[in-house]
Amino acid sequence: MNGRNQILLLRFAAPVVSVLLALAAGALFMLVAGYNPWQVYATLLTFSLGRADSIGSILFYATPLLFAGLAVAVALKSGILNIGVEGQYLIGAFCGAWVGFSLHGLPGWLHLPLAVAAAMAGSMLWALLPAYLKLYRGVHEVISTILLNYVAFSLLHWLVAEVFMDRNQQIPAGLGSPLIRTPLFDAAVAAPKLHGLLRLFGLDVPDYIAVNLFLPLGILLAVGCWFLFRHTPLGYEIAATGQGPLAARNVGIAVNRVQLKTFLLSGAIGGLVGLSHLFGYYDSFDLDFPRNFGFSGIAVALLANNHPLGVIPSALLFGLLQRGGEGIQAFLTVPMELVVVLQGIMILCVALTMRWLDRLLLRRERGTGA
Amino acid sequence: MQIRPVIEFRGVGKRFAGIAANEDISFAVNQGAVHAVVGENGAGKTTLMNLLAGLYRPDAGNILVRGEPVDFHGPQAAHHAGIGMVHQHFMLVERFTILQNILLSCESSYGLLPQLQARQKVSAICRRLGLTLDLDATVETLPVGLRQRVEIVKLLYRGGDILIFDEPTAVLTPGETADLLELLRSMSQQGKTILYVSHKLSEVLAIADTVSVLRQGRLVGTVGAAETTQGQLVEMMIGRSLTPSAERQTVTAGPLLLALNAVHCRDGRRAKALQGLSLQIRGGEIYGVVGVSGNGQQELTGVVTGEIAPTGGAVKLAGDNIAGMSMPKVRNLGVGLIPEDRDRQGLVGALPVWENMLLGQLRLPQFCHRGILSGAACRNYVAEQVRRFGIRLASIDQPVCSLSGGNRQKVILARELGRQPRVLVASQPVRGLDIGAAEMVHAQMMAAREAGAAVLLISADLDEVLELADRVGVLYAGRIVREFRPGELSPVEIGHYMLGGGQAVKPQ
Amino acid sequence: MDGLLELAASALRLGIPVAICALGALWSERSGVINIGMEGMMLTGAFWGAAGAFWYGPTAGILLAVAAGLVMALLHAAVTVSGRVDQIVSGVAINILAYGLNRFFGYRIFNMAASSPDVPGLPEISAGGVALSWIVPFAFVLTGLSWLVLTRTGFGLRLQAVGENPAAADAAGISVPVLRYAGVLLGGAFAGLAGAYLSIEHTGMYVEGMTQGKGFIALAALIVGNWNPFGLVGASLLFGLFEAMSFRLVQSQTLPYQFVQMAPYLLTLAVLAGLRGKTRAPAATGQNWSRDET
Repeated sequence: MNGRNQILLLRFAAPVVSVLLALAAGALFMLVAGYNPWQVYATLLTFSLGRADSIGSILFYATPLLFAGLAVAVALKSGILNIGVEGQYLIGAFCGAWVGFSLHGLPGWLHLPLAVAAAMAGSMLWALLPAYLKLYRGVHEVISTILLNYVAFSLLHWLVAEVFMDRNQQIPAGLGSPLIRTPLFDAAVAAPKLHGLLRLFGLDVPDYIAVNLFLPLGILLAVGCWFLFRHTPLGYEIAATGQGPLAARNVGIAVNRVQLKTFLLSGAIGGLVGLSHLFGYYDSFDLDFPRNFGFSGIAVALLANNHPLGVIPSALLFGLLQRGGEGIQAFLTVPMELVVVLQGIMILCVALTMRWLDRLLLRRERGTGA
Repeated sequence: MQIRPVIEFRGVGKRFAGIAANEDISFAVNQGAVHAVVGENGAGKTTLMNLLAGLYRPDAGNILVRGEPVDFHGPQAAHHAGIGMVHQHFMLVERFTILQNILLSCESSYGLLPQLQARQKVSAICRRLGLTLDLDATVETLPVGLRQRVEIVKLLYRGGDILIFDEPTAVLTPGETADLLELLRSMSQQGKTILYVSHKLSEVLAIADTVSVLRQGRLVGTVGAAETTQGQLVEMMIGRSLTPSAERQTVTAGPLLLALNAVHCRDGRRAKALQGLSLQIRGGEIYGVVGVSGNGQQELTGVVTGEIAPTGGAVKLAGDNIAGMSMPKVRNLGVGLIPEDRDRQGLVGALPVWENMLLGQLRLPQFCHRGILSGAACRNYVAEQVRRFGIRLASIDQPVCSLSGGNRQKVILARELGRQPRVLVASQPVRGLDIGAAEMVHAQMMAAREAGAAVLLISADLDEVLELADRVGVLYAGRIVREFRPGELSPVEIGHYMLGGGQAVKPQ
Repeated sequence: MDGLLELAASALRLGIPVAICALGALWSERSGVINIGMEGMMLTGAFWGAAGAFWYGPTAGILLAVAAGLVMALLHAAVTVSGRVDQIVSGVAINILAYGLNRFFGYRIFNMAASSPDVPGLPEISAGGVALSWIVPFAFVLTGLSWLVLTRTGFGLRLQAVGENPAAADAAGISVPVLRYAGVLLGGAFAGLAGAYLSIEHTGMYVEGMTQGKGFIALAALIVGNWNPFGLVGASLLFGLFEAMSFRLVQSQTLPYQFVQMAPYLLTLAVLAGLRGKTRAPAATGQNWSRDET
């Protein structure tokens, strides 16, 4: 049917339109702030797409966002807004790090999976508390996960600074005090790099850019999530629970159990978020381990309209923005936080266009349907 | 009193998304008259009244009030012209007191509220109508009949003299209905003009002076109530005479399928809801439950479907106690549900028709092998059900919320009856449906009965229950206070039991 | 005795920003709009408050902070009330936006992303040996005023009606969007004021993330206080007391300070978990409304 194709086209066009809208709004903001938006966007694009090291960086930056976007999207499908991916991935990363620095002598094919499993388990456990509070104590997950993020920050601070602090480290020359970090990881736990594979595609990414195994893993996971929602009963039960919990309950879906499963799945995926940085770039877990992937994940999931496959281009776009931010700061001395502003604007624009599209489609279906 | 038209519709039209809800409607209403507007659901009655009440603006034609053309930009403008409406769904803020609700809709001040004067004015109005209202009672604690009184007082407080009632008796017991009609009559004698929207023709003929009939958005005609009959009105409403309802098959009562024995339970606020309710339904039997809403209807549905665990008593499905079992388990044992609020409790609006039809059934072996869905099996089954139940749609991938009300209900029926339930619970199954769709729903329930299911029909529509049910129970204060077969009791007697009058006569 | 007085004063100092923010959230939620972005609005207020105080002095700082809160609130209102976007999603975006904007303008104005130089505060009032900001008694006035306006005036009644049953309010001729804009904007103004208190009065400078989740704690206080002005101020001050006591614990070194840091969040969670079903949000909070879509 022609109408059907048109609707499909609209569904794909909407995110593109909303990105363009966001860029236009961002341009307006730049004008007000006294920058030339044309120059900023041109620099942003040429810097991030015109060089092999930039492409590598985009892939590296996109990897955690891929997992974070999936973690948020999966939960959102069942009607849970997991704002706690932030805390969950940090806890997960610490658990992974623990396995990384405390075990020695294992082969890489065993050590890395063990660390990954630990990270997923830790993150999932951290998600269990808000899941319990939501399902059995009626505490809204948005409030509980945000409060638990702060608890996680303090807990990690304690773990790294007091309990597992590496007190035998060699203090780098010129530095008076030891770094607040865990002991160094066993070499076996390092994530295999993808440089050889990328070279096959003619991309010569410098060694210091740590694109690694977690990127293909993330893409595989996205496909897996897509399969879950498209081809398994659980996937459809999750969607029904998210969109119409009362009806889902009345047809015999155990809504609470479905939400519990999804929350834990989201938590487990969240545990993977930090690992590409942790085992690809760092050699220990320290207090400056990157934050905010969890919040960016919300933006990634929204831009993808919660579609697991849509998360892939969405994460790449955010990776591109981040790399572009470095470019505009270096070449134009425009603060790279401009990119964060753009992300915020983008969430709003996406949500607005999607909402508008829903209304449009509904009106049209009402017009043509029975 | 001089008779002159106080309201005149001249060629009024209104479209929504290109579809005409009202088209070229012209008629006049006299001062002090009770003028009924009748028609099927979807005929455009409510739209027309909303135009008069200023909620919408007409796309075509004029509305004249006291001879002057008006163009209301909102309900407030209509209020100034003395026009007020009692909506089908009451427009009351449940957590406000009666006084707050009246202040809300009647006081224009944004500053400090004149509570004392308002209190006195309301008391005066109540005295004139012979009503007693506790102004500090929270609306959510009031029975439906009283809430309607609050709506009426609101209109009078604003000085309304053209009063619109949209299906005012849909939620009332026979006794409350009689009281309301009495009140309307006395108001019309005091010079108020009343527009009465309904599809219950017996009431219309009892109260109205003139009747306008709408069909598919157009005016079929305006007749004097004294010069017409119910039969003529029905023909005008649906464009044909009503086919006599399908011959009732005699079904030999099957085994006892559903038995509730002295069931007790509490509601969401932990108050006692069911207090020793007992009833029995055999296969091939429709058991109707009537009663004023809020007497345990929701909880009765809840304990049968497993949503609510009873605090006492037994719920037996073909002899097995299912009290306290989870909803999925109860459902798998063969209990189907047509829920009261079909759009929230029965369907997931944004999901496609096919997913809704298979909601909760995807794990059945016919649709799913080794945890992976068979798309072809799902689609074939749904297409077959769509044909069998005559569901009108463009595609089974269409979101279910884009179907009409009748077709949405058919999707639920197709899903629930497709499982061949042993017990079917149907709550308000035809509320808001047009006559054609309602007939179809009733026919399917009769078919389920003939196939040997036990049907529990809970409805606020007494006529519907009396027409369909083999036996009827009156629900009051969480118990069945009287059982009878249709025809054994008059509506007035039934109303008496619905208000608890039977308790002294025949405690159970 | 002096210790107790100092503890009470310290609880006031720490609890008052939460209370002001929670009062703002009250206005927003009573009109039917959840505002997860209160945290971001408070941070925005803190930043621009510091900037204003840096340029023109504390009074100007407070006014600028309130204005900044209003601008962010206007965005939230436009997106949710007019655009009908999910209120929580919009709030999340506001928080991200606030973080980015503050860093961006931090570079532009102070040449540092994460903090401002020291800024002057208002003269303090001292009573019985403790010094407090003028904003503290003003917050109590605001509490009383909020209660009075909400429960005793036509404006308050309409705003509540819009948050409880927008369809009924609409039928009574009340403009649902106008009142929701009013509620959200009031919320933004309060959040801005709370932020100004933090940067100008409490710390004397702006520091990135200085609200430390107080905007979210305020939302919790709103629940604990059952959407009642006095109740939520009580809950906020209780939170201030927790925090004040945990500072004492740090000084006494009985617990690692990280645990003391997380205690207020955990206690808030515990209170919320224990409250289950005992408080009731306005019925239409979180639901966008339009006449055509009902």
